[in-house]
Amino acid sequence: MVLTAPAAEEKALVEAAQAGDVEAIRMLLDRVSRPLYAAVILPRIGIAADAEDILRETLLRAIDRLHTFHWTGAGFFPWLRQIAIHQVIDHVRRVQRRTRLEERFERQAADVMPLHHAGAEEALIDQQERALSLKTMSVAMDALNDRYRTAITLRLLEERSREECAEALGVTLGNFDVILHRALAALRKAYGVR
Amino acid sequence: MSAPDERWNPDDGPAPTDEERAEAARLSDALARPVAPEDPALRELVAVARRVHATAHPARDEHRAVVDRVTRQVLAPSRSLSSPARGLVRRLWPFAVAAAAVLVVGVSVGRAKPDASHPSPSISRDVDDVLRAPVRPGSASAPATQVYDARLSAWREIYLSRGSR
Repeated sequence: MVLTAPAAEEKALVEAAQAGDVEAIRMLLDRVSRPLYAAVILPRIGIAADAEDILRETLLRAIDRLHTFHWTGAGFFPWLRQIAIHQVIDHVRRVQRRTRLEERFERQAADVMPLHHAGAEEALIDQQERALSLKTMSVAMDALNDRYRTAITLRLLEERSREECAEALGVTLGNFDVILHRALAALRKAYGVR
Repeated sequence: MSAPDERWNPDDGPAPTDEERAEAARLSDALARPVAPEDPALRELVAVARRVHATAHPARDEHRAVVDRVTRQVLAPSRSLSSPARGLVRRLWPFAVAAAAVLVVGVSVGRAKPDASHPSPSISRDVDDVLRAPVRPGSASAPATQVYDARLSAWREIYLSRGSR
């Protein structure tokens, strides 16, 4: 199979990293760590401090197991993503007993990601991961009633102030807080219980 | 602009209790803070909100800062061993810890129960032997030695007169 230039470059980096070249490891991790954090780990965990810990564990585990990675043409990111999702699952397990969220993540870890390919740019990986997360979130949001969905959309997706949100819904600030609280509790059930 | 309705809208569900209002206010406050709350129930709702936000919004600069920090830590010099070497260290360290534990226990037990067939010399007896031995001035002509011998003799008399053992 003929590799594209970015794929060939990535493969060479992986081989150098497997030979113990720290600079190659650094370059590999630099390429993929940001979308790993921003598009894979944080949207599944929510709490930034926990997501940072999971990123650290993921990178350490990846370095430890680098010698087990076999080039298949899909590139380095899907392999790292699987490690990250398993770290997320471990975290969820530590926080609570088995949940629907954990089961969903297990399915995602097992998914082959046909969209990713070797040498993919950070922005493309980010975009593809985000599309997957948006789809999951959209399904969960559809299960909410209109007022709850509006509250979440205005406050969290459109980042409007509490005052603007309350005004848009025609309620007081205190009542808006209650609506958002109920909306998030409902979304927690639909989106995944931690 | 019409004033917001103070009354609770039945379309939003049953009217909230004071407790629910207080909880909602705490959530609103927690969402405005960068640090996640300690209360587990509140923390879960904040996590859901942050997941929604992180999913919808493109990565920000702070993401880059976090990733840079973590990557630097992970690739710090102490971590720069090659993978097989690190794997070997990780595999062997439980055995090293176990060996150290066995050594510590062995030394402790050995000290606690000395072997009766080989009585170890008593430190206090050695001291007594020294004290009972005649004082031997090293160099009688040296004033410092004479002072030292005089003090040692005086101390020996006091020690023996009190019945040291």
